Amino acid sequence: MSMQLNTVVGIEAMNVYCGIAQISVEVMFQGRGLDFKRMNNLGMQNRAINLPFEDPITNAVNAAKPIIDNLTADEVAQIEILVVASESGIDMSKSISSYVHRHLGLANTCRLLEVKQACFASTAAIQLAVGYLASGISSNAKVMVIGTDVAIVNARAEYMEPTVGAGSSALLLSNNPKIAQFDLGAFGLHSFEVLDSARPTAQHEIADVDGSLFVYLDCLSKSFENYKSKVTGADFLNTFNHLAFHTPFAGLVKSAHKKMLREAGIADVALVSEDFERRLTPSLHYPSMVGNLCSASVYLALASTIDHIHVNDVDRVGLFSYGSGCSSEFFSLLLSRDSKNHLKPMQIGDYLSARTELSFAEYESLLEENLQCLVPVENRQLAVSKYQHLLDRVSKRRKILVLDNITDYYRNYIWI
Amino acid sequence: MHNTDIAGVVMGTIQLILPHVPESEILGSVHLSDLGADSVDRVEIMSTILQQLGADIPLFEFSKFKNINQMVGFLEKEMKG
Repeated sequence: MSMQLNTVVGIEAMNVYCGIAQISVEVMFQGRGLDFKRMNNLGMQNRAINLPFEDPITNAVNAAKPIIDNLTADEVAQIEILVVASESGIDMSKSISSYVHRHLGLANTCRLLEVKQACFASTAAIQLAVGYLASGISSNAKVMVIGTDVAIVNARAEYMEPTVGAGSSALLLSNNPKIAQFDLGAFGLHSFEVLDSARPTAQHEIADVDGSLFVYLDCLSKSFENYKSKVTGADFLNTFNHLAFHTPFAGLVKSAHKKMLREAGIADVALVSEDFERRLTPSLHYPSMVGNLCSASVYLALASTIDHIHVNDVDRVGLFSYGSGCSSEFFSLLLSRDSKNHLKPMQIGDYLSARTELSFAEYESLLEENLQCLVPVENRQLAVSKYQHLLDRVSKRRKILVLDNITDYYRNYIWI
Repeated sequence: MHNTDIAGVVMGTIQLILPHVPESEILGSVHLSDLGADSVDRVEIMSTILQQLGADIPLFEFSKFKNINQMVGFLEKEMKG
């Protein structure tokens, strides 16, 4: 067998799934009696809410299935690695990937793996996959990387509660980068141990709000510094036509951008504002309708960028991925004028807009059951019919996978 | 930089980012959140202070302080070094 380096690697197809329900952030503030003065700085409109029969596995499958449905049987068989990145694990040993492999109907000739590094894990897996594909050790291979998470927050999370989303991103990587091509070797890293946020149990998160935001900003500066040291002539202002960042909430991205420009010697308010509008606003449309999508967040931002820009020839997009704990990376991709056309069939904006809007009372009525999502139990029966009235209000949706029951620790799913 | 200058930069920046807060309420014994600064305001305050002082200190260091006095004391120590 002969091996040949493959320098053209990237995203062949991608999709996101952000549930079928959402709640307005304003309604959340009202319902919780939070200070409205703080809402503006969040820069968010809605947050995605899973229904009790959704979990990390259904979110993952519901993001990836439309991609699989567009492939031929031969192409599906080329997927030889399936990685699921999550901070919403459902078992200490059995991976989310194993269930996802079953329900996507992937070939047996496939490696299965679950990875964790908070919100950074998807990017870590994607970069390892890109290296694998570029090495040429398995010509024509494809890799599916899915980032999937659920929310486990309630009133205890205070101002964080309205910012937490739920859902998944699925990226099919290959040597046929129809949507985006990786700038191979163009990346910058910054990681160190810190406790800024964590999920110590299956039912609650802890977060040092200032710590988490400050570390995010430190990591952006330092990972970009590392990027610059590897990419001759790179500068924050001119190298990237567009930017897409991990988006815990849109307001943080605005602060991050301002800080980066300040560090680049630009403090002029009008210039900072114009640059933000031009290069970052396209990335924020979807995240502001979803909330923090954890490991999938930066890819939701990328999808938002692609759907909201016009590329004349080739555009470079700078991405920043961050995960608490912490690990981070600044890297770049190339978009072509066809990128948007290849993403279009996923109708991401349409499906986001079609979700049913929950009242605060409806949200609260789901909370107790939603907080059971990751609690390991031997047996549990879900009642999809109990939520039929919510399903009926979704104006447009695909067939989705839902959790029907857990029997002897085994999770059984059905399509509805 | 002289210690009083560091305290002046800190107090001046807080006034700049939180113009609605009366100067008399910006005391060394309070935390920025007591003055109504949300997380984005706090990021803005700390980034501006570090830029004004020309200090290369990770922002994360500033998440630990219980009040403005502790922050000023830390900056004074760092800037001396």
